Amino acid sequence: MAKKDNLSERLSKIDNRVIFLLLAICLGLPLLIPIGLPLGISTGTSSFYKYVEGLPSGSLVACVYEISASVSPEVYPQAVAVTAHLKSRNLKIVALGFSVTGPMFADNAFRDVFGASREHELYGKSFVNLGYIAGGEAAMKVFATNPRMVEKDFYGRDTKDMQILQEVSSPKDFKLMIVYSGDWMEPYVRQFGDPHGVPIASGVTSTIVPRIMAFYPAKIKGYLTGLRGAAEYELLVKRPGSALGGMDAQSAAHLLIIGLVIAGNAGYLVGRFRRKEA
Amino acid sequence: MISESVSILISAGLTLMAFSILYRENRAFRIAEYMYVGAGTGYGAVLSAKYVYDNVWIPVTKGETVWLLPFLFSLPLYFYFSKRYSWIYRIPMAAIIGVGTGVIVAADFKSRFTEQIRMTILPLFTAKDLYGSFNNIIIVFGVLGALMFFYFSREPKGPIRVLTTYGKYILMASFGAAFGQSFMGRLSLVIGRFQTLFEWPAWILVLTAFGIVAISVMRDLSSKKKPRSSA
Repeated sequence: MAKKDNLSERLSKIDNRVIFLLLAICLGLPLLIPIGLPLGISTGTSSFYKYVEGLPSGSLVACVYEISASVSPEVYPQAVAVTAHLKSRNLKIVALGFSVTGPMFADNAFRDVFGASREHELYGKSFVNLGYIAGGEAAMKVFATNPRMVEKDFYGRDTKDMQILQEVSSPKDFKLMIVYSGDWMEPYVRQFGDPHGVPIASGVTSTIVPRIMAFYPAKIKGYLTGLRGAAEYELLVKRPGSALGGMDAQSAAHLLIIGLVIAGNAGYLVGRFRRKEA
Repeated sequence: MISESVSILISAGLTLMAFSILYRENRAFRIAEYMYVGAGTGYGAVLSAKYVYDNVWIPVTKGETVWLLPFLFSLPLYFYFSKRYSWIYRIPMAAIIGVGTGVIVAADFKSRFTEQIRMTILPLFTAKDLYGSFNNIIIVFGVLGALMFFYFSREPKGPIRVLTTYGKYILMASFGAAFGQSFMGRLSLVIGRFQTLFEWPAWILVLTAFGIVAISVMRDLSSKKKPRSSA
């Protein structure tokens, strides 16, 4: 008769697909049946919100969209919540992107918040999408020297007569630069923050946050941490969206993983103890 | 309305095809993978071409021929594809690297070196802000400890050993925090996809996919052939 596996051996032999299935259940059920777990506001989000609240009405805000499809579930809800806040505060938005797909998400955010993008009567007055600027960090440096370098917007329209851009002559005219990104924030601190004193706030993926914290609060005035940051901001601007809806699922999945880590370690320790005894 | 439903169905279908790798390797996953790479590359190529059109072609046709200079300077990059003349592509590449490094290094020295050192010079005790003082102590000794951990010229003994050990724990805590944040980020991506799958017309595809997986599992079990795990 085959010897029966002990707990630690059984745990180590669990098929990966069983864990995938458990994770899918933990993520799926709270999305179908929301629990409504409480959500606290973190320091980075609170600072971000307060900084935007403190800006005088009509101030210019540069929004850099470095969003790609792979980071959009985390960062795009942030962009929508923040754009809604900027709109409610009557702040003027100059959107642009140093990555190829970014301006497409800017267009989507304008459509979600303003109801239209280039067709909107306020386009060119209260908000504009300058589109993609090629050249990476070198292009950032050029843009920081001359923010009116872009002659055509995302839709191919001439920008020189746009009312919103008449107010821009140097990067210091931007009272805040918001960067939505799944990548490092250092280039913006290097090219806009340090040399020109442009205050920077960021909406980033969770992975990037440990690197951001080194610059907070001196260089980066506030930051949103992934989907959680988006949910917190939705809560602050009283505009519940997809991020807030996903928080229960995230908490449930975290509990599952904590449980699995504890079970795995407990199984390992029990196994080691038994081997020592034998 | 119809276009929105079609868009949701395409998005959900491709998501399910991509998720199918979690059960086992299959063609549906490969198709989704290649479509993702192809669509991303295609979109990037079109936007880059549009950028050249807007910033070179239009100004040049208006008589601003100076814009031809950077364009012509970039053309030798295509010699990369020639075995015989590939050395030519190094000339514009050297200029790109030189400019890029110049733009970054000078500014980086301030933002990530001197400024970071300045930010670490903190008061260790402030009577009015005990919590802040506690944080400052962790930051100051954490930085010193982490730096001492990488000091290999002398065997750590006495107080230096204590500081090095503290630095090691600080590094481990930061790696743990970074891993936790990464995991949270990956979960957010899955949640984003699940939200698409739970929208109305996508349900049909989800149920169909469940049916296919269930049949596949039953076939595997009945033939007593354990399916290969993808991970």
